Amino acid sequence: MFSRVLPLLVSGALLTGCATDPGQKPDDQLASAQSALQSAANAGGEDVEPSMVASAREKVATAESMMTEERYAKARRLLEQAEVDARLAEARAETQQVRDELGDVRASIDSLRRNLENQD
Amino acid sequence: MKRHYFGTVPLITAAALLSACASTPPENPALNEAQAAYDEAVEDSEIARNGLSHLRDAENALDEAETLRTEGGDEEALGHQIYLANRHLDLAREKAQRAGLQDELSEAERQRDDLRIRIGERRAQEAELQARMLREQMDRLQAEQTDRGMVMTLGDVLFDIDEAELKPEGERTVRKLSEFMQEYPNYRVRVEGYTDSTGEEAYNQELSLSRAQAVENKLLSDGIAPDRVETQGFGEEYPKATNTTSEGRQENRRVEIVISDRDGNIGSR
Repeated sequence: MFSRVLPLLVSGALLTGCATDPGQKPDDQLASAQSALQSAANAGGEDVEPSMVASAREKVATAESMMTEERYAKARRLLEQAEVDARLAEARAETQQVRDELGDVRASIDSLRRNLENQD
Repeated sequence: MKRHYFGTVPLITAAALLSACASTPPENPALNEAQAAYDEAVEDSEIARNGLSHLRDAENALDEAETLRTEGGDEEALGHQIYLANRHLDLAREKAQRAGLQDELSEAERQRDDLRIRIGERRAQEAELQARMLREQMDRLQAEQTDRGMVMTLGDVLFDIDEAELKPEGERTVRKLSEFMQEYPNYRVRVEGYTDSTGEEAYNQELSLSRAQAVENKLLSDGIAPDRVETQGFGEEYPKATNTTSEGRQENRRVEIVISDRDGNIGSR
């Protein structure tokens, strides 16, 4: 009896091993993704990468509902993706900020040069 | 026999599952692409310098992806790691781009500040030139610095005796003032008439005002706008010298023209 059950247990373990592992509840990943989204919003990420930010928000929302169904592994992936999406949107917004500033400074250089030429 | 048979079925199942997990790993084009992008990024010194932490994250994700591929892990987990690797590469490139822009920005700011300094110097030179020209004008008008500002004095000799009529020489002097006012349109003047203490006070007051108005009329006829000229008759008030001698009295009979500051404000008594 016992020897018949053992192989079944082994194959059962292997089966669950290949199936999705629920793992731990991704609370940390949720917090990181939310904080990344907040940083992206603060940096004006939505203006520069609206669809990237929107999809990151969607991923967080989906992950949250998956967490209530204990589909933790899938939720964790979505949250990890949402975080890098948000970080990239933030980084692009910051780059855009520098680009804008550069544009302003160049414009003021042009106007200062004209000013200087007109004085001659 | 029976026991043996039942024992082998689960073992075969387990072996099949194991071999499924261990079979020759298929190539993954997306992973190859990400790996190539990573190799390219690490070669770029700007990216390596500015996006190092993201490159490390990308490398870790690629390593995990590679492990999943060789061990035949599930497609979704593999795709996830490739996704993360690509995003981290994007982040690394973004940081490098920003660093480049920041360098350009610093250079542009340096140029701008340089130009500002040059313009500031130029303005200071111009202001100095303007001030010198103005001083020359004031010298030409023989205006003197007083508490009320620059004051130009027209002596009694420029008027007919007891009359408010300007003599030709007086007109020439006022003409210089008109020219100044035409050249410097922000300036205004107040023309103030004064007399000595001889005679009726009321008469003196009237005469002082009339003389001031004679100067005003001359300015207006030279084309100076009326709102740039004020007149006032002070009569015997504010003598400059004693009224007991004829020299003193002559000095007191005068018209003073107070010139405003550059904003048109005139100092009053």
